[in-house]
Amino acid sequence: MRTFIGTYDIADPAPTLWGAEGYGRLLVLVKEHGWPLGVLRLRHDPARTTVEGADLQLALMNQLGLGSGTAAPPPPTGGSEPTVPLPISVVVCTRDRPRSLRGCLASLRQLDYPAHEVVVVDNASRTAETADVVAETRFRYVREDRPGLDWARNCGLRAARHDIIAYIDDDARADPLWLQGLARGFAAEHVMGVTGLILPAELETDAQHQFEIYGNDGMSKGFRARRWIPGQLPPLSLIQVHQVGVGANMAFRRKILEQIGGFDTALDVGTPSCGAGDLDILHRVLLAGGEIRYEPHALVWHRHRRDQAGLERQLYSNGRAYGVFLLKRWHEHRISRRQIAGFVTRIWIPWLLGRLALSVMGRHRLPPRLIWAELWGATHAPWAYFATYRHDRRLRRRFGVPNADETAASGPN
Amino acid sequence: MPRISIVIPTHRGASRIGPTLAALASQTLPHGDFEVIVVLDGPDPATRQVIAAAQPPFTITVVEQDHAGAAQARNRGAAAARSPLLLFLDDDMSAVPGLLSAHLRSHERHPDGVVLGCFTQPRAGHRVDLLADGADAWWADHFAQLALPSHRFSFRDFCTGNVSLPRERFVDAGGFSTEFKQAAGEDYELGIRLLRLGVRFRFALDALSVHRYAASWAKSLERAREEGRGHVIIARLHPEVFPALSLRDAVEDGPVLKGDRPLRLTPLRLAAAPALLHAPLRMARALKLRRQWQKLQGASRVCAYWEGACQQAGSWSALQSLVQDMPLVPIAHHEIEFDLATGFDQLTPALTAAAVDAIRLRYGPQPIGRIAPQAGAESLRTAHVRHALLGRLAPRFLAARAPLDRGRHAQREHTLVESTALGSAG
Amino acid sequence: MPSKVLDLDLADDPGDVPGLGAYDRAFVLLRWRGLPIGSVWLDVIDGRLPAADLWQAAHARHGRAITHAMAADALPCPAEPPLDDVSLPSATVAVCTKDRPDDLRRCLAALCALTPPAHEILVVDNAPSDERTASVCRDFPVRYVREDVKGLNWARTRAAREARGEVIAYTDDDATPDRRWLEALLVPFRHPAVAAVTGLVLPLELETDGQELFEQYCGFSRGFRQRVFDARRISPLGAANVGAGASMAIRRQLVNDLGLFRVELDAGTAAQSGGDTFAFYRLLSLGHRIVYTPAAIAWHRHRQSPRDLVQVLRSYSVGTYVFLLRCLLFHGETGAIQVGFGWFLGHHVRQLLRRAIGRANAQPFGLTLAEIQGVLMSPWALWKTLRRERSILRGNATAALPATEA
Repeated sequence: MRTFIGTYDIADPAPTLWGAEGYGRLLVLVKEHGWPLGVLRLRHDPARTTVEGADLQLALMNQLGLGSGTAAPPPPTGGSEPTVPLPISVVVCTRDRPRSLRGCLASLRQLDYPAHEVVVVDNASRTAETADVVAETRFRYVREDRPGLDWARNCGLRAARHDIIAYIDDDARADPLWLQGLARGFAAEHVMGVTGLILPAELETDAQHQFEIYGNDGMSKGFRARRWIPGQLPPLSLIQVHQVGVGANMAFRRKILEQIGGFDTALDVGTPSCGAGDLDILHRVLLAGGEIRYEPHALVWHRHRRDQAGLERQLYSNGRAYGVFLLKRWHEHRISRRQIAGFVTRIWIPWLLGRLALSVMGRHRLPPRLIWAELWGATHAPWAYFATYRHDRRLRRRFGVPNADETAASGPN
Repeated sequence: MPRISIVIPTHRGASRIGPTLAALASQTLPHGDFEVIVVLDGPDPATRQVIAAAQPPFTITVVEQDHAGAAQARNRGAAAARSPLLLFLDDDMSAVPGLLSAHLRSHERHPDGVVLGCFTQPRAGHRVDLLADGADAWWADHFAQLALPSHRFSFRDFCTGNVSLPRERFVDAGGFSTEFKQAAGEDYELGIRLLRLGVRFRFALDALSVHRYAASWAKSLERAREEGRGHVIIARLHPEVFPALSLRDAVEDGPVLKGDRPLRLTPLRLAAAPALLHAPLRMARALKLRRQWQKLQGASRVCAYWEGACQQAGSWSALQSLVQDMPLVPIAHHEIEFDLATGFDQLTPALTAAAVDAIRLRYGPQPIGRIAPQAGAESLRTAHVRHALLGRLAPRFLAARAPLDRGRHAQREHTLVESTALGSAG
Repeated sequence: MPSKVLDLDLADDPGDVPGLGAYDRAFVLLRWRGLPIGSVWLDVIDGRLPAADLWQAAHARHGRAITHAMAADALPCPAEPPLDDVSLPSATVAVCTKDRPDDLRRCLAALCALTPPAHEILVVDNAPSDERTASVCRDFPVRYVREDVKGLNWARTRAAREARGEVIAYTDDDATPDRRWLEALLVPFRHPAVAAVTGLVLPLELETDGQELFEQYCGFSRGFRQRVFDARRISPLGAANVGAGASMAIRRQLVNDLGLFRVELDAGTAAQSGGDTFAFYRLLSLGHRIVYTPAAIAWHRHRQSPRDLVQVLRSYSVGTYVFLLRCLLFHGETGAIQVGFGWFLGHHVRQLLRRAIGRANAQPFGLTLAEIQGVLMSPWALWKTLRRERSILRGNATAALPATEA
């Protein structure tokens, strides 16, 4: 069963979605004058090629509370339009995925924002295809020979010219109004970071559908703007920092990144930790007192893994990376270790085991092997934690980068 | 000056070339109007002898090349041709007397296009041959499909066994790619490039040749492997046609055998398949259990296909990572919207103004349907739109024009109103 | 109760049909601009058939086809029909007849009215007992040939030898082909892979109970959609589904080379039927392609008496099982066992049981018993046919049966 993904603007007088033939389900992003409002999920007859406004009326009423008689929803409590557009540097970190990168860059060409630049950081690709793809565009190409996503992010931070740096993954596509959404978030001076909405770019295979179920709507954090103000944070939010945002769509002001020492090069894809670079940076920004806003108007479409094997690897990596993240927080000791221990023993492990039990009994929509993958990854976290920092030390020695010089985060020496 | 040059590549084809040349000697087209170029792939004195002994009444040139493959041979033959039209013929194809006239007629009527010919496989005697059944049925279905006016030509229709095109177009497109070593599909690949140039394909049912082909199981499996290899090469060269290749099935979970209960083809299963299926196949063939034979031989060929694909990609996991990045749905480079209320005759200018991949059809404000893009297929023509409007879009089309009323008077009036209204507006 | 058979073209917008006082029901063939789209049964009210009922029934049963046809009218034809270059092959129409001069007269009148006309019309008079058939043939521009070996298949073989067209089209003497019957049969032959074409056979009249029962229990119609048959799509043993000998055309070369009718089968032999089925089986098993086209319509005059129906069903049964036995014994078709048993259990036994528990449209006992009788007679019939076949072929110097496969 495939899901057709379309966009429906309620300000349009006679909106029609074309190209839905052969799809059994619909995922419709409802926009108003270009800004995302919400998402509709519907069944669809595969023989029909179009979806018209009339078909969506009922769903609009039931799922989003919008109808012809009701008033327009209140404007989200986010930023307001800045008077002068803030200049933003877009950084795309990529390694050996030229075809995906081409799609991402094509979407960046369509960005509707006056003051921006795009920097592509080639993280030690083995072939020259990435350079060729970037050469077809007018974007800047920078090479980072040290393998590791956070190395690449730091490189992008240094290469960027503007004050606000927005990161996007190479398997994601940006909505044309993405940067405008981010700029709304940054309208207030004291906001240090903005994370955005992520929706699936395609739902063609079972693995992609399962990923959506796994994350409770995949990577989306909803359609209501939120503010994460240090000092007024809900309990445990410094630990459950995945609720704040995802690395595929995040932006920071340069000064907070420089203040906290940039990204931890021992973490994220390309190192034994398999992830957590984004969790780590969001946590440290909040700890340093910077406010982070979740702005659903900053929309990015992410292409999930298509194959079952890739999905299993992804879930395994998630479990492992989160474990590494928690271990780093434990070692840092800047938040109460009792809190961390309590979280792990009372919330995280029981949640994982509970899901596994439900799945084995057949009461969960995901098969047991996928849930087991995350649990299995978590059990490898301690080893991964030591391995990733050891890997980082060796890498620095090989490339001749002293520990103190590089703006590295703390880790075991 | 000949009007058409026939290029026949051959590799150790001394036994095959004789009847082919004899068939060309009995063409209805005068012998002065065509020339034949036989390209020997590797030194082959036996074939030279056969050609010399045949003493054909038409001009025949023999070109020799070092053993480099059929694609290179065809390119060489095309380079040696003197006439503006090229006809590629395989060395085991016997032309019916009207073949050349049929190709020329089609080119005269519609210049600057590719003409696809038709071929049949003769059955020797009265033997029941289950293997040949499958191949015959496949080809007969293929040509029946090509003959339909609503067929949307795609790169998979371009088969070098019997096809003609202007030499200029062949050169513009760049000739056959020589990357296909022990792989089938260099004709498909040239077809992709020709379609991209906007060359129009046509099918000539009377351009008939007889394919003197002896089906054998080993050859059939080897052919499936070559197809697998060729598809991987095509996917790398032209990722946009990936949705039309069978490789697409590997996206979810790797190579898979489709069916009621899809079977995942792990490397172990792929390696074991030929041995496991050999005995049941022989039994089914001997007992004439047709349905079982078809299922088993289908499974064998699919396994051989994936085997070839994995070989070309490098390994099973290399194939997996190759397909992850490819597009899964055809992309429409140029999609237009058309309102049928403006009159059906306005459609042809709209479609010829630019190469249109997909079209959204409306009748006034009412949407009727969309004709989706097809990977590696020609751009849309009026015949395609007409076929869609008569078929799956017919209920919405008629409903949009005049509400269907079950009553007799209303129905009759609506029928009459439609035919007269269209007579004036259409 | 008699039913009237009507042939109406919806594009001509027929009004009420009057003058049906003698009938209770009507069987209507629906066409659109000459092409058949379906058939409906309608009740006659007060001696007329109301047009409103006609349209309603037409839309209910064949709405999709009518929609397609109306939409085709609404859109102009494409500028370049691709197949007109390929001309239709020349055809000989062959009618094999025995002692039915009145039916033959009607058939020949229809054949001479074919548009476009046949290349030649051939009448094979099979073992006649008098000169009436010959005298009927003298009234029409046909070729007359006399074949003294009794048996419909031998007559067909003779016709194929005598014919001069590329394609030979057979029809029965009790069938009345439509005006465009031959043209519709020849169109699929443009494709070189097509070896035979069969057409739609509808009842000419349903005046008696016997004819209605015949139509109900062994009607020849195979539907109104064009279908393509080859060994990949259906098992060659199911060749009976491909079409009927009352309306078929085969490439003459194949008939002669493969000896499709050189077997002791069909009317006039101990096997009583199945000659056409066997020919289709041979074509399919050798990988050829058969097309069924409903555009080629022939009207068949069913036997009038119910007693004849019993005899006909028995003869069909004998023919079917003789055919299956031949396939099993001489052509190595092990699947014939399964087909034979399956048909016996699935049809005959099932109909007996259904009638026993009193289902509405179950076949009457008499008919089912006649069929079972045919099944039991078949081995004996096979032996008799083999004996006779051997003697005929030995006597006929120019022929040997084509070698059966190893």
